[in-house]
Amino acid sequence: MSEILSAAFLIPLLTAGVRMSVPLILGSVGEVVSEKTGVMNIGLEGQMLTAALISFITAYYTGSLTLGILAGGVSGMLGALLIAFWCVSRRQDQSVVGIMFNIFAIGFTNFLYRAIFGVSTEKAKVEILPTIEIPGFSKIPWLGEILFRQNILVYLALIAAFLALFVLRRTKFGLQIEATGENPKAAQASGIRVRRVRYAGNLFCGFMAGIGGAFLSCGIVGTFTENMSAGRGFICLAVTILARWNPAFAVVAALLFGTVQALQLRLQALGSALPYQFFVALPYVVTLVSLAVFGWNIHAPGDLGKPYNEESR
Amino acid sequence: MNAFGARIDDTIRNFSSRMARQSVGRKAAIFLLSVLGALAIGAVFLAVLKVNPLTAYYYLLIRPFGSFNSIGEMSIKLVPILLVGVGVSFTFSAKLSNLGGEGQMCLGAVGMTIVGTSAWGAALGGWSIPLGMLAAALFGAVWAGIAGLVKTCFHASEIITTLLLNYIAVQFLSYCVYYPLRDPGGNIPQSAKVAAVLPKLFSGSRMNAGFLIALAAVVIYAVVIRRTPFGYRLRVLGGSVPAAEYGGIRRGKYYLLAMMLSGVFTGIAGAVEVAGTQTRLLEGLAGSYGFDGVVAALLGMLHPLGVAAASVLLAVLSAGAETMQVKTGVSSLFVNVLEALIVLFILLGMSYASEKKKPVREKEGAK
Amino acid sequence: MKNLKRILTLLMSAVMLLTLLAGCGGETAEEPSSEPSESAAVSGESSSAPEEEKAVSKIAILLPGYITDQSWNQGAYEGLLELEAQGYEIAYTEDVQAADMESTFRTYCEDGYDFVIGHGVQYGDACVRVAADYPDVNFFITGNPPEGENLPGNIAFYDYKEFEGAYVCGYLAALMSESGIIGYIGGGDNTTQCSDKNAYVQGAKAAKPEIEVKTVITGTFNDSSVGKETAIAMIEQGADVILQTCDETGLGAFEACNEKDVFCIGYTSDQSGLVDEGLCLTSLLVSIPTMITSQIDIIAAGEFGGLEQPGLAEGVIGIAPYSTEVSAEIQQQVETVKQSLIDGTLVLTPDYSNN
Repeated sequence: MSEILSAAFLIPLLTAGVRMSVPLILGSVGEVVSEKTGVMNIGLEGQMLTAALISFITAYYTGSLTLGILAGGVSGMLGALLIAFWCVSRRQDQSVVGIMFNIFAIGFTNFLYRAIFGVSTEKAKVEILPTIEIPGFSKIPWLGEILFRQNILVYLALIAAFLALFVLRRTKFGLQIEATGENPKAAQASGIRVRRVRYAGNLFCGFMAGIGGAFLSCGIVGTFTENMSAGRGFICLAVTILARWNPAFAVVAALLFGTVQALQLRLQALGSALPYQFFVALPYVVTLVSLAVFGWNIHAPGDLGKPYNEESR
Repeated sequence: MNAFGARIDDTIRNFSSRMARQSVGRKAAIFLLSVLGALAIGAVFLAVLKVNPLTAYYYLLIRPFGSFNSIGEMSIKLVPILLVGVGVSFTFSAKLSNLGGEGQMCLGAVGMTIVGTSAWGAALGGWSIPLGMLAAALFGAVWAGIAGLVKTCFHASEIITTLLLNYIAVQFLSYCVYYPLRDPGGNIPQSAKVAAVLPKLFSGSRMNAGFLIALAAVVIYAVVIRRTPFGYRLRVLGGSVPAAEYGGIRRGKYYLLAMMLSGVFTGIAGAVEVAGTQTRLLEGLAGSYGFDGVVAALLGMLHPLGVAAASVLLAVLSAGAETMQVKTGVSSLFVNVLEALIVLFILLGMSYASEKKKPVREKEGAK
Repeated sequence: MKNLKRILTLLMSAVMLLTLLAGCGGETAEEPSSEPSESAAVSGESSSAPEEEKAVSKIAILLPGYITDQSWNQGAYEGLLELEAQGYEIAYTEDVQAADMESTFRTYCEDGYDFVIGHGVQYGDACVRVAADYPDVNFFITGNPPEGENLPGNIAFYDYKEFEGAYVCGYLAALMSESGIIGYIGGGDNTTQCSDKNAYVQGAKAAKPEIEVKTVITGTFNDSSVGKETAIAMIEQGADVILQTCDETGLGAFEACNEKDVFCIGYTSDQSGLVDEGLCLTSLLVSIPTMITSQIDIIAAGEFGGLEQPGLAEGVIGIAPYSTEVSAEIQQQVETVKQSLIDGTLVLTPDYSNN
């Protein structure tokens, strides 16, 4: 037990936790904004997966990781555009559109990857993002190693979270977002273009999800594997609620999940008589319990999940 | 504090009423057009893969009806989708989204296996099936009930909790087949065979009694949701929470009951898989049935016949995908693209159809 | 009435559009290219006519994963391609999970395939059910048979002794480890996996009784980033040799070993090319193509069916060439162990206990 509480164990654990939570941070910050406008984007998983592939393909053929990651963001936005069209313009149920988009993404990524790369003994690879050390900060004991020696997307994710928080709390647009999600009728009456705001929120979410997906393929392993998002998009949904729709808290909640993920692998490696299924389930159990424990009196955007009909009375 | 109530209110009710006003012919035409549109886009993909779309679609859509045997195969897929679809329809009626079909199926399957592989199961022989179904219903209800409880007490979204419970349930099932329920005679992670298996309905086909159970479920759903006070209350709750509470319907209690009831059906779906199709418990048993059921429920607009029809569509796609894969080499994952396109286009078509209707034109010419 | 006409017109146009596309779509499934290609996805069927009378003509395989995983599934696919080059008609289905096992078997049988393979021990049960209904089809399972069953004669079970190779790898890993800690990363814990894990530990302890072996089951064969994190965790805890047996997840582990300059051992095929020169000590070779192609001769000889348990001796399991980092002395020691398994002086019984 003392082994677990030592710095030698905790520092790498938290560093890994930060790494593993990057897609979650990105996805849930995006999801927070989207849900604030009233649209629950269940298709986040599909957006991440598609972006992982598109960013990989772009990075592979252009040789530039930056282009690849941007392409991932764009593909996420395209997915969001689709979802927004079905949910906001055509007013369909957000759950079913999201689920179908995820199903589409699984088939589409399989199709596209095979169409382009075929089946070969050589697995297509790209160089992954290098680690960047922030000078000065990285020398701080504990925090320095955990937070300031990561690759660029980690830093971007944190910046994005605080940017989102700033926009939501301190700008006029942020107020419009909150109004749209809370009571679109009143928002419309006061001149806010509800549809536009919802589209914007969705597109932002798609972009973030796309970057998150790009991180999976270009940031960690440098290849694309089937279904590589592996449910992270769904976890983002949970993180969003745990975070009470606050982007800064989303970072914390995402870190929690990422760290427990990193922890369960390390605990297994340390050796345990418990069956491995217990460890694999651990992060989900922790999240579920957290939802119950921290879920008191949370206030979701009032109109969340409801399609908004401008003409209805 | 109505955080997640009234999720689909306008959409569903408006659609239902608008749809009712439109002719059946028009609806069917929209449906057909949407499917064709989706298939047309799919054909583009298939063309890229150098596969003849018409051949592929023949195997995907027509072949499952082609022989007695293939209809049986289709029914194997249909039963769990329909059971889950009916189960989640209950919750959707109350505006709850139960996405935990997969997890509840796993728990139901475990329940069935516990009975079926126990000493009592062996002693009871054929009677172990109803008993196992009971256990499965109980396990499924409890699992769904956890999400319901968390929603009732802590107001946490059931979308998230049911999704999380799915992951946990899959690991739990895995644990069961590796340890407590593992076939003592062997080393493979699967349970022993259950004492009794659902009988086949016809020779020459794999269709089993699970099909009858699924049919019964649809009937039960139709009766409960339309003709019982309980069903009425669920629908009122789904329509407007304040109205329901004003009428004395306690939100928390009915949310919990609705979730548990859906868990009964989804749990039985898991039991049917164990006692009918697989004859024992193994990993991966729930497959994609959890989500397919949700899609079937929503596509069928929570109407018993609609859910049944949508389930048939999804089952055909699933069964046809295998044939298509074998005959044309198109990866079975590709059918995901087609399935998504079809459902999305149907939704799109419906949305345009209801929009074209102007209030003035009550009777749209002779049809 | 007007609307109905409009709808009918639209319908007809859609049908015409479809027909047009069908025309552009070209012929039915083309022959897949035998060599790796970057162009259109390889379809699973070919139609070359066999010249002489063959015992079987249409071969199909059910795969638990994807053919791009560089190991278990890809190996089987390559075996199929070899057979296709010999003139057989081949087909495959990927990602066949529990819900689809039996129906996929049946679909192939109904379609006239006479040699159907379930690539993994998990297919055994469904296979037994199907085999009874199709006595003329030869079934083959790459795994051990389910117990206590009356096994139909037209199924051959291939209980290959992968654990023999794992034992040798464990022996090597222990000898090469300077920290005294080695690692094993698995994707699941079924019979093959579990016996591998236990044999690895056994072999390691045979070389160095005080060796510490860290084992982690990731629970997935398809998540490379989890594999990478697992390997990183092990390396941080001191492991300096890691064996992975988890396909795609294992690729992530190799990535981590490459980054951290830690020795690794590959799985199913020689994976030394995936990492820097010398880092991959060896690979636990599983000659999947041979597993499949060898059955053809057996079928032709009319001796198909029953249980085969080949291992190192039969060449089905092998050890890839050692990396340059392995000294001649250690190579000698490991070869001795390997030889003793081959000639039977050392006999291993598979250990299926999960913990």
